[in-house]
Amino acid sequence: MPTFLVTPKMSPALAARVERAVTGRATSSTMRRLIVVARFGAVLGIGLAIYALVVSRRASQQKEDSSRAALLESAQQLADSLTSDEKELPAKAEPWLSALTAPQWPGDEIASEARGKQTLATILARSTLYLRGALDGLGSSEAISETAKSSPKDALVLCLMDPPSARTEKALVEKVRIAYSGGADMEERTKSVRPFHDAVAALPYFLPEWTTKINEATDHKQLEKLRSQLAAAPTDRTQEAAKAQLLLVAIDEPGPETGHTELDGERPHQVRVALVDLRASKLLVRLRRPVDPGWLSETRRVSYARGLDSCALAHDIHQELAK
Amino acid sequence: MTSTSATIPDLLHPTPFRRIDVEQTKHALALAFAGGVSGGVFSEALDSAKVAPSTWDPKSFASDLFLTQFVARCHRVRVDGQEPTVHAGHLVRLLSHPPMDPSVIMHRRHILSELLATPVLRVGLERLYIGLCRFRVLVEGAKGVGKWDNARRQLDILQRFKTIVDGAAQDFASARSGLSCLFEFGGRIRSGEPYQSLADLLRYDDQLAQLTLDVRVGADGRIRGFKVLSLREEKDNPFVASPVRRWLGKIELFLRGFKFSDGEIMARLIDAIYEGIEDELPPLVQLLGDLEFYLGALGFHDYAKEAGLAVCLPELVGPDHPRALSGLFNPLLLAHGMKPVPCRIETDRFDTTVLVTGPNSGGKTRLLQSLALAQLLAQCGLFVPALSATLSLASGLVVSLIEEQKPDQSEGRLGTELVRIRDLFEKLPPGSMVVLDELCSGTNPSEGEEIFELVVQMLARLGPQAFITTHFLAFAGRLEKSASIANLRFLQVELGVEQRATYQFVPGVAKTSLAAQAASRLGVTRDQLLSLIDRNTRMAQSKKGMA
Repeated sequence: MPTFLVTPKMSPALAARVERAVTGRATSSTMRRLIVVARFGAVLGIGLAIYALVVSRRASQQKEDSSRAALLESAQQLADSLTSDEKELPAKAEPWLSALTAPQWPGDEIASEARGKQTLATILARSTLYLRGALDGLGSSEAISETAKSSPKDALVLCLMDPPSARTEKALVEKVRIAYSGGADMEERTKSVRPFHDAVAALPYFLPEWTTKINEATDHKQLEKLRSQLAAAPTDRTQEAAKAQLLLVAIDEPGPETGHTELDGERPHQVRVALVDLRASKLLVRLRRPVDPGWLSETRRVSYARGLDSCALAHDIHQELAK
Repeated sequence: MTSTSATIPDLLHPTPFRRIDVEQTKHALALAFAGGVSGGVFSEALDSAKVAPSTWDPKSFASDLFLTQFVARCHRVRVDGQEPTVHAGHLVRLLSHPPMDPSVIMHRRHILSELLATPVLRVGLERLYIGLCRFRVLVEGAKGVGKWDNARRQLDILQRFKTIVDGAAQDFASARSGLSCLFEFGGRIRSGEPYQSLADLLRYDDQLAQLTLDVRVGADGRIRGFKVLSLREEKDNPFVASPVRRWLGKIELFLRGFKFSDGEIMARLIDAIYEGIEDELPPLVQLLGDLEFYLGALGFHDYAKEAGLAVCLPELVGPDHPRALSGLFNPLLLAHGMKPVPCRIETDRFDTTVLVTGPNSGGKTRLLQSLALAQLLAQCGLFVPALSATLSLASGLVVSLIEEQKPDQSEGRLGTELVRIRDLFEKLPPGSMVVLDELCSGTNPSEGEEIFELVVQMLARLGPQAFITTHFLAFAGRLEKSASIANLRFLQVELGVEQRATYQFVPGVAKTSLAAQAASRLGVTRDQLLSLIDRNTRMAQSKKGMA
């Protein structure tokens, strides 16, 4: 029986003896057979385990490659779905926000194209981002993102797009109820306006860093995690928001430290409202107006103070633009 | 297993003769090589070894000649001041069975002559013997070495075997006697494939590759660095395999039920080599015994020389030639630290009965021992304890020097003596050598003389070489005068000044046994005995008075 111990340089006689030395052994044949069978079994088992491991690793690798490819493909599609300008839209808004939150109010300003009755509603029919927050909540990118999370479309947006017929409590309440109800009606009336948060919420998935992260993932588990993150991300809303042309901002200045505060936190304070054409980098409207829920009836004020103030503010802006 | 077919180098016989049980020895050696025994392989093989056909019966002489003591004290092997333990039992058996074939005797004498004349051959033989002793120690020392690496031990055994074979092939190329069989033995093995493979394996073990380094040493003596100048691998060696092949070999062995290690590969290769040479190993066991036979003889030669004595290879002649031994001495006396006095013994022919007479302690018994030992050694082809000797071969030897009283002895002294005589004639073939001490000393002279005469007359019919001592001086004198028995010769102890024995022997019958002189020497005179009686009487009276 051939053996690896025999080399081609060995004489035939020596080779034959080496083969006999390998095949013959002093132990009993039964014991030897058992040892050989056991070792063959062990080696076979180890071989099968290694094969299974290799196959499993190969399958895992294929799955990983497949996941990575899918993710990269989706990342590429997302990246391609926005222009670089669109991807930089939130960044473009920041200088405007920074200027609007300056401690010293630069003064009211209304561009000529914004003047006129119903002009604002027409302008706002264009794709617009809306952001409302406290003055001290818009000082940095992080603060803006954080503030944006709690800045949905509210009564101010609705009333700017669909002004109340009069600055009466009754007329205002009608609009505020629509705003508070939300739903399809509110969305239908304000469909051109997107919350600023929509523009930033899933923006990282459109940037090159997302592709890098996918490539750097070392195993299928990490890729799966990335896939879950992507699935949960509101990419369609970001896609839509990123195409906005205007930025509508409402900044609530701090109110007086003393005085009455409503249940929803509303109290007399100044509100800075600005409308910017981000594409043209042009300020359309910049106004600073006070709001005060003091004139509202007790019943309405408890439930709708902030909404009514917002809608009243929108009425006042319309009035100012109509001059 | 292949059958044993190798020719055994036999130094004791001109025609090689397998004396050990080769198959049994081969199995015992294989077991010992594998590490399963501890001692006894060589001893058992040699103790049960056959001897050359012999007409001599050791029971008739071995104990009376103190053959065991002779081997232990005179037939010693001494090499470079060392004295390895010899297989005494084997040597005693060899010495007590002189070969019946004269050509065997001559074969041995030629070897001894050549060893004596050519010191370089003796040095070679001693080197071979030491090599065999070390080989035996390695083979039989398996159990005593604890956890010693068995593969290393086996490689050492193989290396030792190779050294022995090389020595045999190189040291005896010039031998002309039977020693030349060692040259043929070594040469035959060296020309075979198994030896070449063995040499390759040992070279593979010792020198797989050769690395030449350039070493830099700092001022403090420490090594600062080194550079490899050259690397030479023994690629032509058939055992050299690539690392991949070695790995595959290990995996293969594991699957075949062996260990997964480099050592296991070496063990299998060693097994393969051993199988190739195993038929050549049993001859080494027999060879060791043969070398002890010759080196012991040379040791006896040296031992005698150191004591100012001489040994020789006797001239072997026919029975009708004159016997002459000069400078004959008793090696047993030498062995016991006494200085033997060499003597000269001459008779006109061998097939005679020599009556030796003389005083007590005159050396008669020692002479008989010397003569018997000389005859025995001569017929074994060895040196005899004499400066020169002319001896004739005998068909047997009967020695009766002492008769111990045994507790279960049923007969009295006369009966015992008669039984002894009966035994003698039962054992004695024609042409034997007979050595009898104090024949018929156990009975009264008148009756003893009759038996003595009968024995001497009967012995003459067998034509032996007989030496008999007796104190029947008057009777011996009558026999000498009457010359009634043919081929009867007489020797007597020579007396010197003040009637002291000179331990020399001259023709004739002694006139006295000098019993009075011996009695005086041993304190058995009238005055000395009376003085002892007086002393004892006084002591007894003194004890009575005190009581």
